[in-house]
Order: sequence, then structure tokens, then C-alpha cells
Amino acid sequence: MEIYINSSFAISPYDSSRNFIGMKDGRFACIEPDYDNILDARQLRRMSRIMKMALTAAKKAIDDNGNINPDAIITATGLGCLEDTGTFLTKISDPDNRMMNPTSFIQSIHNTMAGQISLFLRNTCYNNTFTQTSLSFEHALFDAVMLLNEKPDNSVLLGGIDELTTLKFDLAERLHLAEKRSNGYYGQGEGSAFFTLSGHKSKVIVKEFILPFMGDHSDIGNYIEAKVDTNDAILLSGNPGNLQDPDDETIKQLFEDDRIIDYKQYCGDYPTSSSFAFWMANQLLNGGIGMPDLDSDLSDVIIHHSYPGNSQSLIHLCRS
Amino acid sequence: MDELKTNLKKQIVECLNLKDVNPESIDDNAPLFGEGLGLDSIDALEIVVLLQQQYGIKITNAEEAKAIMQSVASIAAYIESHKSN
Repeated sequence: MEIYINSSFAISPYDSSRNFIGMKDGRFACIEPDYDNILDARQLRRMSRIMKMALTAAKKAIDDNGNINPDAIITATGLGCLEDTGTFLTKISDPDNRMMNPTSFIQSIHNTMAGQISLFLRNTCYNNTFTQTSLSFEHALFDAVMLLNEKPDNSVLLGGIDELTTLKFDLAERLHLAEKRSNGYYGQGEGSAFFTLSGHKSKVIVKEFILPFMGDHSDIGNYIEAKVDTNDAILLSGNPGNLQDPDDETIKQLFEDDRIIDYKQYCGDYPTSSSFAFWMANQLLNGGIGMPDLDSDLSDVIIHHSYPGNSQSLIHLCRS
Repeated sequence: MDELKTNLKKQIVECLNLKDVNPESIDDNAPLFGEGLGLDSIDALEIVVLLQQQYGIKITNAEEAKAIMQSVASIAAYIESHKSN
């Protein structure tokens, strides 16, 4: 059966309406809405930034799907609520501090976001969080697809969230990750992208995904050649450094130059950045909405996601 | 005692991030939980931590905590009696 993307919403460093990329202190930073206009003040006061980003994106995606309360809430996060984790660990490492504040501890757990969404929606249905580093979103997608294969009339809320904190940024800089930029590393990023999926027809189909993808560039090329007409397709690649390797012509032979898009130039590098690519692909296939500078006449988008030191995945979305 | 209550109100507002609440607007005897400020169980834990960190007061009995944290006035009274002990 076909699985469709019924709605989506992303909070990311990329403002597609202005073709603007949010940066703060030399690093990617999400362009965030005014949460006071979206969430209740009582709920907001205890929420960390990632929580606000998750809840807002989830709410907007649900609103765009006719405000249907989902039958399942599935989130993906590589590193969870990092700000609260940092706060909690900093306090616990202080030998003079014998009392821990409960809020940062409670909210440092990876599944806090899915839990908060269910509380916000008063939703008592299936609720799950996947945290498999760079393939967290793909595992969550896999779960959503399995659920919908059993119950196609259901609506599943699916999201990928990770935040960039000062602590994480500083640690990564100390590990010299920035020096890897010449090999396709664009700096650390963050984002929150949510989707509602179901068997109810919409413009975009989740055609296929391969998790993990174990092949090399020639295998990506073979997949693309077998599955899509590259004249009507775009490759969203999260591994641009390697794909732009002059010795590797496999992929370049298949696409025109402007048909390979490095999606991480818009959102930075983070474990669930494939959720941003998923959002971008959905926007492109919906007629280029919000992407004025990109070709809107598309039938297929292939997402190739990889993260330094981790496995890869391939996701294929197409127009219905 | 009045100064203690004023400080407690400021500390509660700051600790619980009650952005829209002016500390001066909190009634000394208004209930903190449910009605009144509408605080919940996590806020109760935060107040327990605050009292230990700021005033060196340990509250270990849940029933006792309920009575102590009924209002700003009841917390202040407990701190005062704790000091005099």
C-alpha cells in the first residue's frame, strides 16, 4: 500500500520564503517563531528551547492536517534534550550541590518531547521515540510505515528533532570537527521537522527507504538509475564532500549539476538532519512551495543521508 | 517576616520561571497549588530544592510538605520556626 505525507512543518535555520539561512555566532541557528503566540504561557515556562521547537512543529503539522489528533506519535532524536542534559550534568558534577533541580533532570530524557506532545494533545495512543544516532529519523519512519501498513486509515505524527547547544558546539570544536569542512562538513546544525503520514491520498508518496544503506556511490547510482528518470528527479545529498569528489563521476553522470542539492548547506549537520531533507523533499514535490529558486517540475526526490562516522540511508519520495 | 515573604515571592517567581507573574501581586495567603498560582507537583519539588538551597531547610515528609507549601505565608512561618529552633 502507499503511504502519503499529508502535512509537514519545520523549524530550521532555513527560511525558504526569503532564501535566508539563520546563523548565530558563526553556526547554524533555527529561525524560531514567537512561541508566546503559539503555546500557552503556563506550558512554556518550563520548556527548554528544543521542547518548544518540537511542540510547535508538531502542532503546526497537525493543524495543517485538519487538526486530526494522531493515532500514533513517533519522534526521533539523536541527542535528545541537550540543554537540559547539560544543565543537569553540570549540577551533578558540582560536589557542593547536594540537591538536584527536578525539571532539568526530567526533561533531559530523550522521550520527553514525544511525551509533552501527547500531554499537549491529550493523546493516549501509541507513543515512541527512536534514538539511533544518525539513523534515528529513519528508524522512526520505519516504525510509522509498519504501523500504517497495518492500519492505513490511521494518522501518524512523525518528527525529527535535535538542538545545537553552546556546550555541544564547543565540544565538537575541540574535537576539530570544523577542520573536516573541506571534506563536506558544513558545521553543526539543528532543526525540528514534523509530518503527518497516512494511507489517505495526498501529493507525496513515501515510496521506499533503505535503512541502513550499506553501499557506495556506485550503488546509489544503480538505485537511482533503476528507480527514477533523472530528468525529473533531484538528489538531496547529505554527503556532498564525497559526492563532489572529482574522481567519482558515478552520480554526476546521472544528474545535471543543479539536480544534486546539498541539503546540509541549509540546516547544518545534525543526527536527524534527514528529517529536514524529508521536509525539503516534500516541499519540492508539492510544487516547489517555499523553494522559489529550485525547479518545481519534479516527480521524484532521493534523499541520501550520512553523518560523520555513521551509517547511511536512502529515502525515495515521489509524486502521487 | 515581611521581608522574608517578599524574598520568597521573588525566589518562587524566578525559580519557576513565572514570567507573567509579578511577585508583589502574590497574596501572602493565596494557595500556591491548584487554584491561585496553579502550580503542580514538579513545582513542589522545585520549591523543596529552593528551600534547602536558600534556607537550609530539609522537607522529607510529603504530608508535612503539603501543609508547609500551602501559601507563601505558611512557608515563611515554617522558615521562621525552623530558624528559632
